Amino acid sequence: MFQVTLRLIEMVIPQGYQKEVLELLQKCNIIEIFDLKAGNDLILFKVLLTTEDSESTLDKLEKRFSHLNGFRILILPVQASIPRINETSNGENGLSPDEESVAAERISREELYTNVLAVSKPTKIYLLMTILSSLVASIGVLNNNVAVIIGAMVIAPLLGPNMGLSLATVLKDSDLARISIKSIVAGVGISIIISVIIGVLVTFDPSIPAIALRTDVALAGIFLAFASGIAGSIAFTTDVSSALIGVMVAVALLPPLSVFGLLLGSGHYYLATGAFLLFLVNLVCINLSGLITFYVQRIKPLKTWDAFKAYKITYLAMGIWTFILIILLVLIQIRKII
Amino acid sequence: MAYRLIIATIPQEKRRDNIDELLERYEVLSMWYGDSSDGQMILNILIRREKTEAILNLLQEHCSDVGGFRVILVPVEASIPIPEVPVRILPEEQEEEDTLILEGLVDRLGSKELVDRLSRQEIYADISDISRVSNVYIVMIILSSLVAAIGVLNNNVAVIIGAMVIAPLFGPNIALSLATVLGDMDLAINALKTNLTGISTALAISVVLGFFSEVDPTIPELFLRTNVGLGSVTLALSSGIVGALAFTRGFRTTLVGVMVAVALLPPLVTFGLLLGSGNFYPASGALLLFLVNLVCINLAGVITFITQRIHPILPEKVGKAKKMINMALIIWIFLLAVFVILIFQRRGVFDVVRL
Repeated sequence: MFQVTLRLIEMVIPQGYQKEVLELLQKCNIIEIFDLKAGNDLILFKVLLTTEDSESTLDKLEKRFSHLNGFRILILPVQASIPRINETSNGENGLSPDEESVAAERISREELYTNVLAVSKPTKIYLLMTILSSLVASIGVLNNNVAVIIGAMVIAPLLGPNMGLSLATVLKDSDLARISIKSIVAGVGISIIISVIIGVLVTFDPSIPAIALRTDVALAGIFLAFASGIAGSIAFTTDVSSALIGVMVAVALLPPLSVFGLLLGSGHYYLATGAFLLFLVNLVCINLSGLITFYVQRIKPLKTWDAFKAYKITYLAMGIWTFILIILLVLIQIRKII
Repeated sequence: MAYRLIIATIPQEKRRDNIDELLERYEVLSMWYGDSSDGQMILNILIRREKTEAILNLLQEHCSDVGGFRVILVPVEASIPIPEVPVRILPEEQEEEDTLILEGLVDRLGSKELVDRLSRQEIYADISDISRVSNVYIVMIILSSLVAAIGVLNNNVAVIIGAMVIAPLFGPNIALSLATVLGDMDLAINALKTNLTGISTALAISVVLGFFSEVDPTIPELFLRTNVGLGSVTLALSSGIVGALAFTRGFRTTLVGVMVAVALLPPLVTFGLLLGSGNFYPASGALLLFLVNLVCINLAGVITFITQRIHPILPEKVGKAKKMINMALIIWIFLLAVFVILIFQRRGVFDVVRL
């Protein structure tokens, strides 16, 4: 699954640093490098390397040159390259890479951050998407139409902000955390409101399979949510967006939420609590598994001091999520006894 | 991929020295340029992908009348340093020509009017790519019709969903909406041709299959698709809006969800199967569901593109687009009204309230 994917790094820096850049990149696993003169006394470097090597190289370049005026790095996707690149080759310069250049089997932190940030923001479109997917999910559940429910799961933009929250934790990025929490709260609120309204307006039978399925939490459901959450985080860190679709379907946040709203609106309170617990368990599992995956993948801030603090926050967050999960499990047991 | 790199080759006679100033209004994150061996200027601009349209318009207006001009839009995975929100700086003094160009743009595309979306050019490239009749398209239609028919007959939801995702019927319909708002007759004709080819191929296959196989109209997945209510209309409209939005933002995964939620192929195949096997009344329900979905996708597409302010920039196309939009809106709303009346007739006025 980890085929050689390539990235082209373009770096613009002021003239006069060519030698330093070439020296620095000698130690990295790069495939090809060339430079061009750009206007305004700038020089443009183009570096071809594998996706797995991109983070260590980017880190070095950023640490060394980011203070320069006009400094800018772009990371461009590459479809293919000729001649074909051998997976085992150590780059063209033949030098063995130093310790810091160990390849991570994932995309670089910057790329991940850009991707996650784009799906975590509470924009108008995000809110509109939440409204529409809640409508679709409610109609699908009421018609017991599995295909439509699956469609709603994939449209629903709730997975993104949760990934954003996990990434914000491991990167100690309070802005991203705030954005993500805002998105989660807004999205959950809107979905509940819409499905409650539909639940009040429409009379339905709570024994519809699509509803009954989502009013009970089993222990297996927790493992399911965990496994899918880890798969989802890996899909984010390796840029396999087709795998994400599977994850969205396997551990969907929206349908239990819609079922909760529908049942609440129609006055089936006991069943509604079941759906809500299922939603919360899924939410917590996604966050916890996202956190663990990012931690294991060693995604951390660039600066050492920040990285140290980020570790602390990560452990704290893991503790909090685990605590919430245990409370939820206790609640589920209590609910069964009642 | 939240950023785009615009690479423009600007011919010698159009190069200007104050290009930095000119671009200052456009929230450019970074800009550099070099010379090619024949004296052309190669301009590189890094910009958020939602902001590309204004720059592309500017470059087009400025240079498209000379040969050798070319703009390439390259997706960018990420950029370091993580860009801050840039402040729009308005230069105090400008050359007359700049002001003219800018004013010309502001007329049609005022800065407030710019919606955060992909550029018209990029949406167009994406959509026209999936709306052509090609051999691959026809093969895909044939295969997904087969898959859908087998899924429906075996009551296998997973297989039906597979067919929905393979199904290339969504693209041509969105292309038709885009052609309408852009006043682009060629694209519209292309999209219609693709649509008709796809629909007739799928229909032919499923009628033949229905004729030769035993079709029991009470199979749940079959019955589900002969049953159309007001819920289906709401569903199709909401999913259609999501689909069109997904195209204007480049959300690939969302699109898959839309294809599944408001599938065109399964109702069509169900119709064909029932028609081929002689179950005419349930067949009419499936046909109605298919048509409702088709019309709703088109209506939602046109409305979404209008509210996203996608419009042509060439003056001769502006008038044409207006005419086409009016015509399309009248046709689609009229058809939708007819279908809603038909739904009422089938289900009875009081039964309709149930989704």
